[in-house]
Amino acid sequence: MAEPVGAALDAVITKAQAVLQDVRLVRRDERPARSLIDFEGRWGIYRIIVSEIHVADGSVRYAYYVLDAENRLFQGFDNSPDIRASKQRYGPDYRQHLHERVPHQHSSEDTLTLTEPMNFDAFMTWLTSHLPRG
Amino acid sequence: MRETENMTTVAINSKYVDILAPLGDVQQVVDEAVRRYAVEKLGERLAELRRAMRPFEERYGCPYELFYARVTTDEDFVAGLREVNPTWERDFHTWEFYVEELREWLNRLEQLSML
Repeated sequence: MAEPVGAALDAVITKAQAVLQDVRLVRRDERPARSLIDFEGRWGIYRIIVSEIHVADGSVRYAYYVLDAENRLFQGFDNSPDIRASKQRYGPDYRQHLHERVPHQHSSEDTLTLTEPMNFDAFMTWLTSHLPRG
Repeated sequence: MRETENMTTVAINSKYVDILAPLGDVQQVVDEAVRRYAVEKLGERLAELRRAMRPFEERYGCPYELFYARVTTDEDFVAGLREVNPTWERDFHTWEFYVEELREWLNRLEQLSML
């Protein structure tokens, strides 16, 4: 049986509190068809933002960010249906896939790279392996 | 609570039955009371969702449907979004959450109006 969404959101918060500093819940909203969690924390000098929407069909819409001390994007991961991600994944056929969610990554120069689907654990793994906590 | 094909039986305090009986058929009176209550609660929920969506409409200067269309079709528009908000995808998902909720509650209101 699938884990109840509320428990999954609790688990994400608990993990975040174990890894990040100053974790602050921005928004949490649980409804029958979908649930939302949005929180922030710190990783050394970096501001970390986590946003997940858990949908009843089991899919998760996510956005994970690392912002620098001046609140500029340092690294971001999300699966929004960004046209640039659709173009990269599908090439000339991208118009047939315009509304698909495409996992991708943004750099500080806002260059876009396709990725495997991410979750909070994978984001924390990326964070701990790419950025010194300082 | 007991359910049959189109009806669900809910126990109500017999004092309400005593009070409602002089007003007419108790079943009809209760149905009307439930309908009015449902309309009121749906209205509250719709207003709450519209309030939640407003900051996004103001920040991006358009309704969600236009924002969605631009994100999925207009590369120049998407390229400029980072200047407006470095975490615009977070807004996009949250906005979408409320829009989808709003659509579902509007459907419920429509179903209610057909009863």
